[in-house]
Formats: sequence, C-alpha cells, structure tokens
Amino acid sequence: MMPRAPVLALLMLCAAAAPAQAIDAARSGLLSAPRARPGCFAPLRLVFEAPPGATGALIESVSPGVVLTRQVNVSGTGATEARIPWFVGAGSFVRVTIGGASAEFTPPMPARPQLPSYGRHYTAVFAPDPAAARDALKPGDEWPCDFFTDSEAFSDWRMLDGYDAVLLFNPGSAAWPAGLAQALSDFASLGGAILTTDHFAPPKASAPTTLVLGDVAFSRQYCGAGAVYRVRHASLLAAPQPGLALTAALRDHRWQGAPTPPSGPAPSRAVSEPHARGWLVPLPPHEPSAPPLFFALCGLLLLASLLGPVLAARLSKRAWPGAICVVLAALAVAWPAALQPGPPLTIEASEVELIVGDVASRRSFVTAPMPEGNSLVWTVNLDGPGPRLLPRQAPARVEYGAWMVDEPDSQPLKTKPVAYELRAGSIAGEMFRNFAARARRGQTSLDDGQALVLDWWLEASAYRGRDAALRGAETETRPLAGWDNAQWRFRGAISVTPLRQDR
Amino acid sequence: MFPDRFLPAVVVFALLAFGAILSAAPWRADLGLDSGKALLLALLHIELALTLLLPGPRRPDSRRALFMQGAWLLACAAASSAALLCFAYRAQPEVVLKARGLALACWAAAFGVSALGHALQSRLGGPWELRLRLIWLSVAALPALWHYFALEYAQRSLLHLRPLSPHWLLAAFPDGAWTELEYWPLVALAATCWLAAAILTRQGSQP
Repeated sequence: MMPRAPVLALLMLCAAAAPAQAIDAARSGLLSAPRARPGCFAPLRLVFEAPPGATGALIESVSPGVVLTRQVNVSGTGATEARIPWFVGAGSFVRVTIGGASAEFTPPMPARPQLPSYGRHYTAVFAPDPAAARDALKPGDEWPCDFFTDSEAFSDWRMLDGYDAVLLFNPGSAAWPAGLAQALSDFASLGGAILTTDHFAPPKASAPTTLVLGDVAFSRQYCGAGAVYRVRHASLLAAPQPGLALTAALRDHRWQGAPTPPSGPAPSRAVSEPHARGWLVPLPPHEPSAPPLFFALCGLLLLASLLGPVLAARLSKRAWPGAICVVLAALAVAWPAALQPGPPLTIEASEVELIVGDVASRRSFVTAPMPEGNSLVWTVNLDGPGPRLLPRQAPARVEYGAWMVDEPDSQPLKTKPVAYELRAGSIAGEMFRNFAARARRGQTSLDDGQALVLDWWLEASAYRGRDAALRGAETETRPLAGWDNAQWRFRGAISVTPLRQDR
Repeated sequence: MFPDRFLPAVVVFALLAFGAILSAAPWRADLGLDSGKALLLALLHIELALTLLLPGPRRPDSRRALFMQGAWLLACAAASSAALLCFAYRAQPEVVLKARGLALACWAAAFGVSALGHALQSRLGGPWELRLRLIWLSVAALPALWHYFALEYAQRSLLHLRPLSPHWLLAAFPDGAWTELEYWPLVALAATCWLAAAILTRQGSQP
C-alpha cells in the first residue's frame, strides 16, 4: 500500500503546476474552420473556465511582432466564451491571463487554406438560418463561403480580415447586432465587397447605380475602395443560379469592371503590392548628439584616472590605493554610463492611401531595426478607442523588422492638387517607368519621398493593368504607438484612387 | 616610458580621443562607422589594440610588486570599460558588456607576458621583455595578416590561431556570438605567464 502523504503532496504539486484557468481545446477553434486565409487574421472562438472569484480575463492573440489584446468579463460560474482575431501563420497562439496566471492555446492550422485569387472569392455569409442559406446559395470551389448565424455577426472588421467579401443573406426578419454596420463600413473602406439582401448601407456610401449581373438586378454603391451590392432577396432566390449572380457581382468589383481578371497574383491584405515586390531600403539610423551626461562622465573619468593615483601617492606611500581609487572611479562612471537610454529607435513609415470620394483607408509600411538583444512587438488593444488598426509583420531585411498597418475609414490625407492618371501602364502618354524615373529626378511636382513610394507602387501595380489616379500626399501621423524611445521618420506618402475600366 | 600609475589615464585618454575623432570625422561614413554600433565595435578593437601596444608595467622588484601590477591591470581594464560605456548613448551597451571577459583576458595576458619578460630578463639577461612582447604581438595581432598571406600564397589557413587573437575573435563574431570558452587559450596564457613570473621573480629582493 502506498503511503498517503507523498501521494497527496504529489497531487498538490500537480494542482499547483496546472494553470488556474483551463482552455477548453475541444470547443475552441477557428470559427471559419476548416477554411482560413494564411497571413491574415481569422475569427477564433476561445472557451475557457475561470477560477472562482475571477471577474475579468485578458486575452492576447500573439503573432510574430504583433499582439492583439482584449479584456473580457468573466461570469461567475461555467465556461466563458470569447472571440478574437487570430493570425493564421506559424508562431501564433492565444494566451488567456487571469490574475497573473496564464494558459496558452494554439489552434490547428486550417485544413483548406484559402489563397488569394481573382477567380475565387472567399466570402463570409451571415444569415439567420445558415443551413437554408447554404442550400439556396450553393457555394462551390470558385466561391468558398463560411456561414455564420446572425448572432455571430462581428462588430470588428479585424475578424473579417481574411475575407474578400461579406454577404448579408437576410430575408428581412433578422436584426443585425450593434456594431456590424461599423465593421462593414470599415471593411468596405479597405476595398472589400459587401453583398446584401436587406437595406444595409454604409453611412458614407455614394449614390446608388443599378446594373444587371447574371440576370439579377443589383444596386451598387461605392464606399471608399470597396462597394456595396444590394439585391432583392426574392429576385435573388428566383434566379436560376443565385451563386452565379453573386459571383458576377464580386467579379464586377474585384476585376474593376474589366471583362478579364487583372494580371498577376491577386492582392490581399496578407500580400500587398509594394511589399511583395520590394521593401524600402532604410536610411541610416538617426544618430543622437552627445548629451551633457556624456561630457560629464568623460571629464570625471579622465580626471579620476589622472588625479586619483597622484593624490593617492601623496596620501600614502603604497601604490595600491591609487589603483583601487581608479577602479572605484571607473565603476562609479561605468554604472550611470551603462544606464544611458541609448539611441532612439529609428522607425520609418511610408503610407499608401486608398481614397474614393470622401472615404479613405490607409496602409502604412513600417520598418524598424531590431533592438539589440530584444524584439520589437506592437501591441494593439482591440477594445481601445481610436482607429481600428491592424498591424501584421512583413518580410524585412536582415536585422530589421517590418510591419504593414491597415487603418480603415481614415481621415483623408492632405494631397497635392495635381493627379497623375495611370492608364494601361502609361502616365500622360509616358511609360510608367519613365515617369517614375522623372519623378525620382525631381522633374514632377512630387518630392523625393513621394516619388520613392510612387515608384515603388508603380513597379508592383502597373503591370496588373490597374488604372488609378495618383497624388502625392503628406502625413505626419504615427501609424503605431507604444515605443517610447523612438524617432519616427516619414519617408513619403501617396494617395491612390482606383479607376474602374468601365467608367 | 611613464610610471605605471598613469597607465589608466593613458588608456582613457586614448579611447576618448579615438571616440571623439571617429564620431566627428567627416570620413566616418566611408569607414562604415556611421552607426553607433559600428563605432562601439571600432572602439572595442582599439581597446584590444591598446592592450598589445601600450608599454607594459615597469620591472617588478619583488613578488609584492608583481601583485601591484595586478592591481594596475584591474585599473586599466576598469578604466577602459568605463570609457567605452560612456559612448553607450550611441548604441546599446550590450555590445561593450559582452566583450568585457575578452578584454580582461587580453589585459591579463599583456601584463602577464610583460611580467614574465621582466622576470626572464632578470634571470637570464638579454632583452627578454622585448622579445616576449614581440612574440605576443605577432601571435595576437597578426593572424589575420598571416591568414591572408597563407591563403594567398600557400593555400593554407591559420584560422586555428583565432582563439589567441582577440581582434580576430571579435571580427569573426562581432555580435558576441562567442563564449568565454572560445578564448580559453588567452586565459590559459595569461595564467601561465603570471604563474611563471611569480615563480621566477625573487621574493623581496632586487633581481
């Protein structure tokens, strides 16, 4: 028979080692499983048991270089469910912290990764009855859909990051949760397509125009770079193939009104044009001027090393007090010298604004050298006020880190009055590369930084056959916050207005 | 050349002067010293060069004086460390702190070789201090050059001399991706020299 005391002690040790809260791995996972888009954030459901007495929990969605945080209230008993965007990629996980104790959970990667494509439109469908909606719409390989109930509708566009489009499939009786309108407005301002069978309309949408796609009449409104396609529920269901009509609407938006898809790989928020083709070469870091403390420490060290042994020799016949004096003085100088704050981190930012009408969104490209013996991680509070930013790490040069930060529904940048229209790879009858070279030489109204970003954007976008009106812009807004000892350097900004082929 | 007690001041003055020159020189960008980390690495190389080039302490007249040389060794190492850390406003101080063990080993080896040279000189006569310092300088400072000539003319590598050459060690691993174990021959050389000097130096009498 085993002695009781060691067994009890072992059990107590095991209990102490276990986290105070337990994540229910069976009920936690991607809401969109088995689909998700790699390199984007996907909606994740997290179910966990909180210890008795806990009132709140901090949930962190940790991905390389970025941490998204959300504070949730914890009910007294039973399991707590929370939803948070989770980065679909290597090295990302979710952490729940309650009262200092934390537990981590890594959901399995999606079995069907949805890569960006002009021929496949990854769509989130919200419907009161998802099963009926699936029967009616019949999604297929060209139109992969994730179905959610109306109560699961997200109030934050960051949960919709991986989708090309959102469909509100509503016979008219369901009431959408508060916050969905803002999330969809943000989503549209970033270039997403919204298909709806009810009366949803973003507040800043343009005047509607009517068009017939797949034998179904649609009403189209632009909202920034995105668009809202409204269709009557009854007429959609009356169509022989509702899915084809909706796909035609998605093509109308994503192909910019052209009969054929743009060339090259389809862009997504995970793989954006400028970063896919090249990354801005960082300028040398900002070098701080010597602070007064530097001169004080140098003078003190020089005096101590010179006068210390001399004075010690006057006071004592032995030599060792002089050496000890120098050692002590050096230590006294080395201590505050090592505590100097060090040079500020030089963070470079370039911005590309997408704007149509008054609705704009912004993508910032941030580059920073990795601090010595440290890693640079940006933390974004999902519940915080202000713009709903979403940073994600991007490929960068050795010893550097790079991020792309999306900001929906942003304040339009102050732009130059002159717009350059890119049409069929030419600007004002000149091949885009010649124009970019002229801009780099300062022969246009663009300054150096704007010409740099313009050249960068043209290299990635002109060959796609995309048409756009381009303007130089000015910005001094920091896309990210949270690093105190930092020197921000704004390289340049441009404003891009997409032009449809069929206008 | 000058009394032992001014060795730390000479080290501090040299490092601060080189730091000021390299910070303000218009050609620093051409040398690749336009970043703070590069400047600190350059100063680290200069500190290690000073351990080789500075005239060693004067001849110890007894074992007790030999221990005094140990105290001046510590003073030089501490003073050079403090001088380098003064430039921490240009880069993170980890660059300097990581190389402290290597620098201390260099100071110990340089002073040990000098002490052993003096002891041999007193025992055997002849310029042993100069000979040993020249040998030490050749071994510690020239492997990179030897390596070049060996590769160029004999197709041989002398990379195995790297643990004895602090400069080469620092150049090979500028980010401090080396451990104390990689410069153990330097530590062993310093310990051997000090031990031999202590044995050969006569106790309490003029050699």
